[in-house]
Amino acid sequence: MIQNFKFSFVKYFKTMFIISSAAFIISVLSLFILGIKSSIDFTGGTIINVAVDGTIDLSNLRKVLEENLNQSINVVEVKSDEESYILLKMSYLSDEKIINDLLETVYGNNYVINQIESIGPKLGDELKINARNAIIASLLLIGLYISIRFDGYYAIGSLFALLHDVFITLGIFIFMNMEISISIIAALLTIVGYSLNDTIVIYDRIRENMFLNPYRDKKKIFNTSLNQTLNRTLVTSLTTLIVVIVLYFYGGNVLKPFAIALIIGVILGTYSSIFIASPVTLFLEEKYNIETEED
Amino acid sequence: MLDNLKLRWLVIVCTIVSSLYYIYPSVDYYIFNNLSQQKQSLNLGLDLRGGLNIILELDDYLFLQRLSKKNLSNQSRNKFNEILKSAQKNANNNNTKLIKEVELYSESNNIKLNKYFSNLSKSSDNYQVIKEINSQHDYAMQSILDIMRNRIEDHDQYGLGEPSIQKLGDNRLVVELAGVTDISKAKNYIQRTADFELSLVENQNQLTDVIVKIQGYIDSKMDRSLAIDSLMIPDGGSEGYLVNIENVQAIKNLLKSDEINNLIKSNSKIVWDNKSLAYYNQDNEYVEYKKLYLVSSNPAISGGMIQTPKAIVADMGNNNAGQWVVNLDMNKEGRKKWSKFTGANINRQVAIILDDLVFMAPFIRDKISSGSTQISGFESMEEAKDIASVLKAGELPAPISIVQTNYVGPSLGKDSINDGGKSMIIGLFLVLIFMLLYYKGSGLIANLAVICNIIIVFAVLYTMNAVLTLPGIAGLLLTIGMSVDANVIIFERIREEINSKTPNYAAIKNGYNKAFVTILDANITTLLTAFILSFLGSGPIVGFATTLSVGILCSMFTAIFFTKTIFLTLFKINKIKNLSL
Repeated sequence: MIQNFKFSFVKYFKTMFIISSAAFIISVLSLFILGIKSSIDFTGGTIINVAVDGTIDLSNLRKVLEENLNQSINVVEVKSDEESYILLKMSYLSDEKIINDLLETVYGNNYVINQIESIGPKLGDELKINARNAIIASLLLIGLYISIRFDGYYAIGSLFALLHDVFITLGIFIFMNMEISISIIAALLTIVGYSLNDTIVIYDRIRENMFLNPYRDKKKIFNTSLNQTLNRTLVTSLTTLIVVIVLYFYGGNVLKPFAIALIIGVILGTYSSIFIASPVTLFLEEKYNIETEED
Repeated sequence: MLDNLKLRWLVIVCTIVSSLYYIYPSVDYYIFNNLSQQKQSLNLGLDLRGGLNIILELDDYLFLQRLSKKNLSNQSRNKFNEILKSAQKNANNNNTKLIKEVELYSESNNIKLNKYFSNLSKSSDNYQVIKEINSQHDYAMQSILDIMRNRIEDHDQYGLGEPSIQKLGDNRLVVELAGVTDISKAKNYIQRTADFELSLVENQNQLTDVIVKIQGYIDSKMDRSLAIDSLMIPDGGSEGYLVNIENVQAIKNLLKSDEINNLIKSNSKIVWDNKSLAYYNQDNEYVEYKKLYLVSSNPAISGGMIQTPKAIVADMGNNNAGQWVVNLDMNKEGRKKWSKFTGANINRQVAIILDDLVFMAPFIRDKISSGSTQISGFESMEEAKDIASVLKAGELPAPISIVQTNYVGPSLGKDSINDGGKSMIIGLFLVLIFMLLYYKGSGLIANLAVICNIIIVFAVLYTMNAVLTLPGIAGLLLTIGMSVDANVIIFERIREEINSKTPNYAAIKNGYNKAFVTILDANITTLLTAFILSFLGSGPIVGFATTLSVGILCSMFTAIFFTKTIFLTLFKINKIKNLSL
């Protein structure tokens, strides 16, 4: 089962880089053109999850709610094997009593409110700024850490990989028409940490090999290092993938979007440490860092 | 190195035994339903238990409006509103605090804030005025916290765990009520304005009369006799009575009934002190008491009449020089009533009552006709500040609003516990199987490390008093997936060493040494992002960040220290030649 890999990664660097760049550009463009679909975490609003026992007349419910609340209300029925419920989505209500009263007139006692999530618009704005700051802060901190522990070329390489992971994950979310909530931001930051973890293990090996063989061709060193760490890269990605996939299937509806982001992120993070972080660093090392060759 | 083995095992055994000791009650409670262990168990978040979580915010805009001088001319009032509006706009744009923006705006536009807040500070220096505004803001916040704390403690009738209240930033509070199902009722209860009053404490002999009457009623009407006159002890230093803490609930229940209440004259009522006191009794035992008073039900001063309460150290020349005192003022209406009231009741007690709880009952020493009043007799700065914040509730009904609501119904909570538990077990099981198949014997050692890690993480979470949420479980699961990484790095290293013909024992040592730096580097980055995450929001995300970072930290111990010890021990016992990797 275990083998020593002799895979020529360097040969595919260019092709993969072009494909990734294309995906990255499409993601960034769709971010600007289509825009992010924000959840109420960022826009403010109220979501109420109601379970109804008996007949659910959605159009009647919508009519009653809209007449009394004077706003358009998004009413959806969610059905799965185990459960079914109605989601009511509207702009921020500081007191849900009126909804409770209206539900009572429509369904009598045959309903239960499962969940209410309600976020004031001001708090939403704040969360938006916090989320943006958190992402920027983590990228800066990580860049700083890598610059100290390795050097600038490695930092640039890892930042390229992180931007690649974050933006393409966002892009996929846009294409899947999924909302970006605070938990997705948390997933993105986790991806940043995970992807970097992977990158660092490879960088560590590259650095060690460069130190051991200062005169060897850098392309060869990068390729050897990637092969030496490949087993570990695959095993760790696999165990992490196992748990996030389990989370997707068994973690319930609340964690599903979070799990999707993590699944995409783990795959991208693994890929990017091999095909983004390493090529960028190799390119910079070959182009600018001639010091070692003169040694 | 082998000499250290005993020490290594000692560390491991101590860690695991103490961890098991900490998580035993949680297992007993959650898995075997032993209800008596609830207090010693790891707390579940509201998303798992079901309940209501709301964030309340002190509206700074309204607060400043109400704090400003009352008798501003229309022109000044308009000008002041203009300042507030511009500052609010800047605060929204820059995501900063309104008070800070008011300060900056006045600086850049050469506005003297003293004009609008001469009731707070005579100084023409904006810095001094802002300092005063900030301290009033702190009192207001503390006063909301006090009010809310009283309310939710009083509200603990569901028996589903402690209600909790916490400050969030400098103008918000998080209130958590587990098990609440009537959301509107709970919200109304929390949002209603506080009842504040200063009322005369009736003489002790009047309270004695009431107690005798109640006792007479109990003896004649109730089947089960309850000798309340022996449960209640007249207090030596005040007009109140003391009740042993064990009997407080029984007496409270008694006082709830209408028949008993009718025995108390309509112009007075019984109120409890908010704190308990502890004394040594005759037998030299340490006993806790709660004090109750009979007070007039016509308050001398009610909400809105008090102005700018402040805790300070009294100046030289004052009777209480050098001690902490609380100074306060009254508005015109208050001044008149206060002067008459204090004049008529010298050397009697006046109770400071908030939501029917007595926070202090100082004695009236003089007639106070100017309104400006000093309360003394505080033992510490905290005590004085507490009373100032209670009095703040008498100055302005704090303008609070609900800015976030999260409610999870009981059935959804149960579903989430099931989902979380199921994914934990399945995820763990699959990872363990995978490691065993892939690394065989060494995989078994790594698996032991993973299981130990989970035990230690739960113990650490318990000792941190952390709350386990659904995202927290996700973080734990992710830790399981990621924590085998350290062992994978080590095993791969050892394998390489063996391939290059290093003897087994040296291969293990080299493998661990070389892998250590890599593992450290890789884990620090995950910790960095988890650390940033914990600032991102409240509740669930913090739960995720906590379990992830605790998990990663503990895994460094189990994956490096623990597994190395096992490897080294196996060598010592068996001198194994064939390393199964």
